[in-house]
Amino acid sequence: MRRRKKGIEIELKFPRTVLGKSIYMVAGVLLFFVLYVWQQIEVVQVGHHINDIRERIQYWHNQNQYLQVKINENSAPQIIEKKAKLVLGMIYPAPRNIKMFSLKGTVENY
Amino acid sequence: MLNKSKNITILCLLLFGFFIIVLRLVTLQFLQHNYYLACANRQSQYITKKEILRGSVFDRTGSVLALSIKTYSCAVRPALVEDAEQTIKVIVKCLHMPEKEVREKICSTRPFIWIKRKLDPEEVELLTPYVFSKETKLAGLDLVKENKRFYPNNNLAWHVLGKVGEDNQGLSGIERSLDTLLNGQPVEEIKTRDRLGRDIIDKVNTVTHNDSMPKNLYLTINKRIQYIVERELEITLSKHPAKQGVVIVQKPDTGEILALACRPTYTDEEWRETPKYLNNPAISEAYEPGSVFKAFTLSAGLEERVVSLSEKIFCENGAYKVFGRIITDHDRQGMLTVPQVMQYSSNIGTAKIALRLGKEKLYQYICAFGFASPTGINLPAESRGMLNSPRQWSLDSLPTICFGQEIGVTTLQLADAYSAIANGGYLMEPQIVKEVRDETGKVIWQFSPVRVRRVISEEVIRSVHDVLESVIDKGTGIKAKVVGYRTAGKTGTAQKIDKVTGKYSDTKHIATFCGFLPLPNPAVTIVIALDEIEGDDYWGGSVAAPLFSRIGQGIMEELSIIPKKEEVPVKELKYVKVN
Repeated sequence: MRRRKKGIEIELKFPRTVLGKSIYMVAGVLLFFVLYVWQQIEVVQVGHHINDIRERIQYWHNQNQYLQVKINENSAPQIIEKKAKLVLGMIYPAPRNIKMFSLKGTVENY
Repeated sequence: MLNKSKNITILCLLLFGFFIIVLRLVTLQFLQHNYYLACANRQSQYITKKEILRGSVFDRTGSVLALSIKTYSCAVRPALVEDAEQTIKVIVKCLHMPEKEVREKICSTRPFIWIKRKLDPEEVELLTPYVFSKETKLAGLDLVKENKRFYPNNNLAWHVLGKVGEDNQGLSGIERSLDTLLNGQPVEEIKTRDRLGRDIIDKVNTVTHNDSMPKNLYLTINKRIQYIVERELEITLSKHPAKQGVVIVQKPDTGEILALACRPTYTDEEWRETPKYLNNPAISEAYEPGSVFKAFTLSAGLEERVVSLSEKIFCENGAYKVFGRIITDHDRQGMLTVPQVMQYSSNIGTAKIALRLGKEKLYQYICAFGFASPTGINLPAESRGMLNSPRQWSLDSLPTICFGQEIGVTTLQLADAYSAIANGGYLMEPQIVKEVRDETGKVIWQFSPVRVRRVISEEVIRSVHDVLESVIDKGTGIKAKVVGYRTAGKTGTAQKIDKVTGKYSDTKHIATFCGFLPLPNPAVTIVIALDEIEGDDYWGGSVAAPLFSRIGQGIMEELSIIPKKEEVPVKELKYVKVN
């Protein structure tokens, strides 16, 4: 197939002429660079996205840690004892009311 | 033909242009590669310290005692503040600070000033819109990332855990002694950022070595036993106000410290003003132990066979002149058996045993029990105590050192030495750290008991157990009885030296009680020292002994150690309100 345009006859049928080959080659190289740059931009964008997610994870991790602190504060023996006495009205049992017995096979771990 | 030559010309031009571009690229990419790479790196890369959280501290059951979380500190650059009134209003509202203080800081001439360090997460949330939001941002106000140390149990194990400074450096306690493990080594990160200053993650180049990461510590402390000890100590101090109170609970067979409590504790403002408050008196303060020391003289005497349990010693009716010095007893006693010497805590009887031993032997046993040398516990500023060598002893040193005068010991040394009596004669190295784990939870170091030496033979130890048990059953330590359990121990009331007169004071005393239970295989050694108790009731037998009893009772219940059936108590414990 031949096409005439502004006095230049271009061989469009691949790969009939050297010019055609060159144009395809340059186009191929350019396309490669375009794809490479596009890929790099994508990678950077994904990187930013990952960074955002990491920051969010960090935020929630911090929140989790802070809740751990709160859990530990509320499960501290002095807090439990205070609440048991003042809120629930519990009293310390008399030693004779504490019955202790050993279970066979239990491991002493203190 | 013309077309063909035109085509060739265009092709040549294109190829030439392409060649020029390629040539330039080769120059840039290969010949000047290093130069441009350095330029690019200078623009886009920066070195930063990796944000690493300080390691956590747990008790032996895995309950958190100290942990760090990331938070922010509020700072201001006064020169950049545009609307000072609004900034002050926001800070006062969000951080609940006095307006006067905030105003002073914002009107300061300094370029950078901290408003409040290490905010609580709630405060950060309130302040965030005024720092990070474009619409409501206040110029000059800043939030700087920092780590904050939390102690969820408030003052529990205050002296053991210690404190950290504003820059997370350990100042006292385990925070200081194992600061390197808890903090890790600073890790530098090389980060790449884009033109907007955002980090590009694919080029992060972190230099991280696992050894340098912070470690988590698991202590030998049992949180619940620690609480029982602190609660009972506070109750005692509320009834008998004293300058200071120390209690140590140790596992005699391994040397592990189950609880170490000291009172008073101090607020952040107080210890920042007076850093010496951070010292742990249980390990850094040596004092004359008084009569609790008699157990070691007795052990040495029995081991060296200079005395036997059935032997009777004349106690000179309460006053005994030896080498020009008069030794007195609390009560006038005549002939006493060796167990009675301990039961009545006779200074004269003990001095006579020591005189038979001789100064070299007594010194040898005192050192063998671990006195006059640091125990090696993983806590900072440990005192070695005070004991002169026998060559420096005066004539009356021997009959006074034997009952705990002219010698300085720490409470920890006492606890460790009593543990040696409790465990059958072995001096153990006291331990405070049970495990060290990395951030993944993998155990990288684990405690194993360290026997320092055998001090006393097992046969003699059984005799000493019987004597010390009789002290509680019939002697001065009767109030230390833990109902349902065979208990052994010794009371002590030591006069303190008056710093002004240089003589023993009649008003300043240290009341002590050292003991262990349950016999025959003690699970815990408990040592109590109460310094300068106010009022007339300052005796070890009347103040420290009941405290021992309550702590012992609580620990036995906590450890689920079954009492002997015939000794199950019938008297109810009085309910005591804790403030």
